[in-house]
Amino acid sequence: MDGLPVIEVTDLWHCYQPNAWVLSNINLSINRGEFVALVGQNGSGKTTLVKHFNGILKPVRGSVKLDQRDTREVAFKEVALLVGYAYQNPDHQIFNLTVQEELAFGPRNLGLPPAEVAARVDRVLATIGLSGLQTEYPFALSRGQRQKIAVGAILTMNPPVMIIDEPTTGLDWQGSLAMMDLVKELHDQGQTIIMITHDMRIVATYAHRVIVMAQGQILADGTPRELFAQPELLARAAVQAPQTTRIGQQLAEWGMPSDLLTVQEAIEHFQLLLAKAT
Amino acid sequence: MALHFELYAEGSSFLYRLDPRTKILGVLVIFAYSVIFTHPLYLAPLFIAILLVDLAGGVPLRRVGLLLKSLSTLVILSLVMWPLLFHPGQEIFRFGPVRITDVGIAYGIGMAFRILNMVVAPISLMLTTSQRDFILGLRGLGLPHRGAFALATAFSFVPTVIGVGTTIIEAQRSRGLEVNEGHIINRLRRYSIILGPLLISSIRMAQQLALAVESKGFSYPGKRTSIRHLTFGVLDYVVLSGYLILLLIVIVVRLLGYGAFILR
Repeated sequence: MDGLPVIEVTDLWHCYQPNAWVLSNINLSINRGEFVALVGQNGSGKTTLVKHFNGILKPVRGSVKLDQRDTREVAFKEVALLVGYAYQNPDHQIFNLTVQEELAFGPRNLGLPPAEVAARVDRVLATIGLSGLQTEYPFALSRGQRQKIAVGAILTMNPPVMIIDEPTTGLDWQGSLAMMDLVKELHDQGQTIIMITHDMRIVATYAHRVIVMAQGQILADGTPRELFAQPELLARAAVQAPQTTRIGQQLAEWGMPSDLLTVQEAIEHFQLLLAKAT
Repeated sequence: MALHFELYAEGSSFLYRLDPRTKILGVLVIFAYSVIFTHPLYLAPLFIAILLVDLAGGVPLRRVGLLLKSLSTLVILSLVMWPLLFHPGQEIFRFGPVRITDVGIAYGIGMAFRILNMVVAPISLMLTTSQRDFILGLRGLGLPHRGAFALATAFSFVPTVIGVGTTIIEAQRSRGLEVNEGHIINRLRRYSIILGPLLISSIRMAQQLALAVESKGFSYPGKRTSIRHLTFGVLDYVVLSGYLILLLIVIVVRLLGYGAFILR
């Protein structure tokens, strides 16, 4: 399925109040199977942009196409079949008295038969690692578990594209890793992932493509390796490369590369340098 | 969040310079006026007067307009229901069991203006008074600090709650919920899907707010002083005297039998 554009944005402009442009001149296309991270300061337009991907917002100018169809002409339910959106704050979407009911809400809205709904709920419970908690009261669970429920509630609708807004906010490192492992697993299964995040370590480790936003415009679009190697560009979006990358950049004169992404890569290069030195 | 919701908008007109106590009393006078009279010929001019004061005082009219739009259901309800259910005066129309009288219609119009007056006036107050001034004003009028704080906070949280509500609607729509479809029972049921998270979020917000103010010594038992003190200016005295005269006239006029319908 790789290589087909699933989201196509053409000259998109958006404003909430006349002439106060929150997004301007956005052009991008996202293919099936991509893992895209959207980064940028608060207020740079990330959330406004992704809200166009599932038709919550409609362009003021330009167009957004999902599978070649303009979002202005597609009904909400059809969009929900294609693009799932897990909101940042799980408490904004959880309303049921049990985890099970919460996960079943989406697929029921899509009109799926009860047997299929139950099968999906069981499958997703296993995926998000909450099997055995199906009759629990969601609000009594931890923040990390609620976050998983919010993602799970979208997963049961089985959309090929998933938008995840800051999935690791408010989670400790272990919770973040568990959440990101889940996201990675979904991507490995062929899901297209669009993720908003402020955590560059997560971007470096998981994303295949980064879109950097600043003042409602796309500042850069490329692989994490390409982008993190350009500190001046990142500074314009008030974004900083992960520490590993910056260590490499500051040790450039010792022969370290400037586009390191992970600790493992850094260690390998250190070992090479040390081997040369001795 | 990309949208910011706040009622108070900065400004410098006379409405902003008036003492908050004067403005709060003004709202109470408008309430009294709107309750004492029922006749639209007495209530409509007050509404126009409020709008004119807002206009002269630089109140963001776009927001007042939005408010009027959201009040339209209530206004229409009043215009329709009173004539249908209230039948004093001359009958002017009859069709089977439906009976409409002149007083019924006039009363409906009067009640519509009563609603408009009693909503637009306090909203104008909130639009031109910062939360801090509002609390000071309420305290200046004798309300204990806790009560004043609670009231002012409730007002200032309305826009926040609207913002959260919008986000919740979006989140549920992303899960395939069609909010504005189907008959009324289905719609109400769907609204419960929105009210549940809204309630939970509001309780969480309230809890956090309680912790936040408590950590700043909210219930410290000593005497509470303020960094700012309210003082009435010349304008305040003029406006306050105006209230007094207006109230006197209103009471006399009403006692003389004007401004309301004689119901039999």
